[in-house]
Amino acid sequence: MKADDLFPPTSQNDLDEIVRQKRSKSIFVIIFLIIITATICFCSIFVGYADISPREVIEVWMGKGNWQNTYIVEQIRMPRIACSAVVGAGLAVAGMAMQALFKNPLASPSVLGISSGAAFGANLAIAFGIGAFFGSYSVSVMAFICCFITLLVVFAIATTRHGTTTILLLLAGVAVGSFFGGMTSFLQYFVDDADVLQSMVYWSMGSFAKCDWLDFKVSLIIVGVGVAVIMLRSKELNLLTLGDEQAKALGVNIPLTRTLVLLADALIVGGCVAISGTIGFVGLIIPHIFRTLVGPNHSYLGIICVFAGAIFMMVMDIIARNSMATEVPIGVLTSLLGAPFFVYIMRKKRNEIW
Amino acid sequence: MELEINDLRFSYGSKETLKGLTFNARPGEVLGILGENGCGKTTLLKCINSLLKPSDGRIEILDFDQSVFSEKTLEKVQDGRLNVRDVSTKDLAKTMAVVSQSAIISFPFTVLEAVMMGAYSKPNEVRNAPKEKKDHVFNCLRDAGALELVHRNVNELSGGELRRVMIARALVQNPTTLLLDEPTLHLDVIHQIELMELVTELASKHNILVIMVTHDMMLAARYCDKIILMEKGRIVETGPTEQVMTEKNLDEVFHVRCRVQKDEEIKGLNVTIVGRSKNYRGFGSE
Repeated sequence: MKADDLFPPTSQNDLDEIVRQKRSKSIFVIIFLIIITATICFCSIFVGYADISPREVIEVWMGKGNWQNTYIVEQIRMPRIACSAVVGAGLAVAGMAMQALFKNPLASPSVLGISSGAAFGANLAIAFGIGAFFGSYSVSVMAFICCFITLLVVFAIATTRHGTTTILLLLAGVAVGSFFGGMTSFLQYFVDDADVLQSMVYWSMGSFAKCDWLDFKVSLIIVGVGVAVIMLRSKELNLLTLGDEQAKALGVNIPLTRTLVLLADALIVGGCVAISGTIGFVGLIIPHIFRTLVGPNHSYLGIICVFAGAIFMMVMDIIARNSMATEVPIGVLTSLLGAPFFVYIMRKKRNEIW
Repeated sequence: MELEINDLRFSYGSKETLKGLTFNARPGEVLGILGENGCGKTTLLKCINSLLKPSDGRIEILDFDQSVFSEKTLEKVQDGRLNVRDVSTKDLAKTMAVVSQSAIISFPFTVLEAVMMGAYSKPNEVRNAPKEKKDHVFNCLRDAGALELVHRNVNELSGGELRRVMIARALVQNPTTLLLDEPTLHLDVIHQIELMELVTELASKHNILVIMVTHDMMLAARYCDKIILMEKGRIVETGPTEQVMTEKNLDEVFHVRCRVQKDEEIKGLNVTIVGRSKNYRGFGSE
């Protein structure tokens, strides 16, 4: 049945059919994105800085490649692709959850300053070995802790007796984000060791160049848990976009939902920043594009963001590795592409936002 | 479900908005709450729905259907009474629906999606509904006059259209108590009358308690069974509509001269506003 035939609906069957059509559309988009993800995953193994021909890559897979090619393909390219997919997926879902929670299509981890907080935590761990107790997880754990503290601070500043307002939240995010940005620069200024300084700068620009399989495993677990929590709360996220009062009147346990989603968000952003540094605007662009495409129903939008975020990040990483003679930091790249898009949304939607 | 409110007080900071309200409301009634701007009508509604926490007093429900509540909520029952404060958010949404005064929806949900959100607190009831209840959502949309809107996005609707969508959503909740905050605001005349007829039908046929905050004296006089007249956080008078809606009371509370007449054709009171009261000297004067 065509959509026009169902208008105006004359029975419950028509309504069920409308719901079904919308669901099939979303599922179609999801399947399409899964295919693209697999394709890009596969193809990106063949491109890279080192000059390895497709035949040599296939030889590596069959276990017949020489040791250099085997090392590059299996220990450099593949973990890197896997990490970029995880980070892209995580940041897109985290951004989506933020936007629903704050009823604002412009909210994202980087706008709310929590990426800066996480980067500051990672920098503390790198510079002073704080959190060494956690061993190889120390940078991730510190990124997560600082990420969550930042989130709480932003939330505390923006919350008044009458609730949390969007504009206060964005202002608080900008203020706290720039504070932690400043603190990070402060740390960098006083570090003597050139190697330490280099890896600190590396964090703040974002890159997948140093990702290995351990990074992938750690981030997959952390980001996976966060994404799962958000997915399980997708119905509540739908209702939260109506505003706290209406959501509560419809039966949503708001404090519980908000705490869970914010924790999940901090977990995801902490996990992502820990392996890749700060990468902005992914959490803004991906949910926004697909919300206009398939609608804001978070049950589907969440799954879509996972694959779309992964695709976006893998493509960005391919560009980052191959566009110039030396590698472009991916955080720089996403900002260069993301900032104009951000301006575009602001201009187009300025009447709806506040 | 019966509602009993005893010495209800509420303060925003140091300003006391509700100064000890006592009344009760029975199922099958349409209860109108009338009063000037800022007299605490909306605050009262929000207290009943647990959106605001009263500073003192009790709001209790009696004679409720035990099967809808979870065990955790039922543990709090004392002598067949339940304080709304002790009812979990989800359980309260199963029996009480609210149509609030304003709604800003920034995400482009379709009308159908928005209306289906009313089923959040009892998803199984809609999904596994018996055959005769399968078309619940359709009936709600039809009753609220929102059927022709199902394809639109909620953020593109006009004020009146959005109001109808919110009423449909409240009906999907299948409540035993329906709280309406200025339900006729933004609605054109035909939809106002349709809504009020729907509300009276819900009350009389389905034994639902409807509490309605309104500024429209004409609609209140015509469709409400009982009226609570409020002034500055206090109840001036409460009782059957004919007893409360008198020329003297309206003069005192609203500072307008009215003509209240029994109208045979509409089977109710007809209120005509004649002008401002004789001793009214403008805003702010006592």
